[in-house]
Amino acid sequence: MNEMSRQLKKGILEILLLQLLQDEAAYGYELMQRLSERSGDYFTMKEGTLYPILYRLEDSGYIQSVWEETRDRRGAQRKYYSMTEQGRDYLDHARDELNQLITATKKIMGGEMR
Amino acid sequence: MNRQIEEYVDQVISYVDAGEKMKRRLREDLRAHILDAAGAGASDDQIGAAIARMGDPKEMAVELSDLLYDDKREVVRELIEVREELRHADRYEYKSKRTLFGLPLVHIHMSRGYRYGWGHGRVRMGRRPAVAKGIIAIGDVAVGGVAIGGLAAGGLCFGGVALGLMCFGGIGLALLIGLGGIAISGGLAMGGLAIGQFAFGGCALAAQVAVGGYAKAVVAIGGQAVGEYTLSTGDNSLNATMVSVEQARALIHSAYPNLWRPLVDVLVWPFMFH
Repeated sequence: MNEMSRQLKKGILEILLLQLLQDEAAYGYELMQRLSERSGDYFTMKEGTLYPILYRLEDSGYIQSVWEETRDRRGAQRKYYSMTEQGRDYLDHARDELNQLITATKKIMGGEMR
Repeated sequence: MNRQIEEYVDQVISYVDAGEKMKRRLREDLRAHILDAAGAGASDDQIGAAIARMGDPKEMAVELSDLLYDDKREVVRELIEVREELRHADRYEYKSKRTLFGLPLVHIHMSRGYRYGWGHGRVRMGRRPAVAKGIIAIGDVAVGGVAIGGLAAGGLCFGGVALGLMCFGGIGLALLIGLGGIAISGGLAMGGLAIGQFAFGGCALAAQVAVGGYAKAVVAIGGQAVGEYTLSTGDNSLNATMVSVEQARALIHSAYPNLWRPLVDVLVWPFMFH
């Protein structure tokens, strides 16, 4: 991944993770998988990127986490992240911001941007 | 917990500069993550493969650190402090609490060897030499009343290159007395090549009195003596047996009758022992 692509993606990952958690809780690995699948492998997130973003969202109160026992992993626990009410408000706000950003960018880029 | 997982997670965490709480949080998440990535009922091979996909622990630590710190200034500050500590780690420094004329009585500041390397297309010294300044100064570069160092400057100096009132060194540049491989002095110079008002050495060049294998001065005593008053052994070396101390003393006195006696004693010293 080149640096420009990396920087562009980094800014939007927070919103995308919130979007993925909007309807159902998920654990870290699952979030990485979903992000990759739904973006047609465009967003291939690494662990070193995922967890700091999740921590930031959790520390800001937008998501919460809970450890749960699992049957299929030798009894090991798995941490599920879910969205809070505050997170939903934040996501609404973030979507608006993103829309404005895309609209403004298109205005400047004109026909060169599909 | 699986040994491979523990080792990998330990490595990653060891490279991350974070508080204990954050490290614990990361440790727990990475452990769980590896198990998820390895799949249900993960075997050691599957765990190994999952870890391999996650990549170099250092790279992961870099990525984690990049995002963990919103304010990177704190990290940069720490980096500067570490570099500062490293800069001093290979040096020894002692500075006495007692001072005189604003200088520490004793200042020792020495590095344990220089590093050289290529940088910006030219040879550069890895770091600056350690400078000692004190009444008694000992260092790579020493400046003080008594200075001892690679480069020593001050009153009484001992060094590879020594500059001051009285100097002893490979190269000595002195106002009063210089002694060295090459000694240049405003007063007495003694050395392989000695240049001064008064010079004694292999090649002695002086304004007033020179004593040496080759001696050139107003008063010249030596193997080859060139001057107004000369005593020459004529064999390119200072063969002290050819000249008596009385002859040497008399020659100097004939040109400089009031010359300070201890200085004359020093100049005629080679002729005293036959």
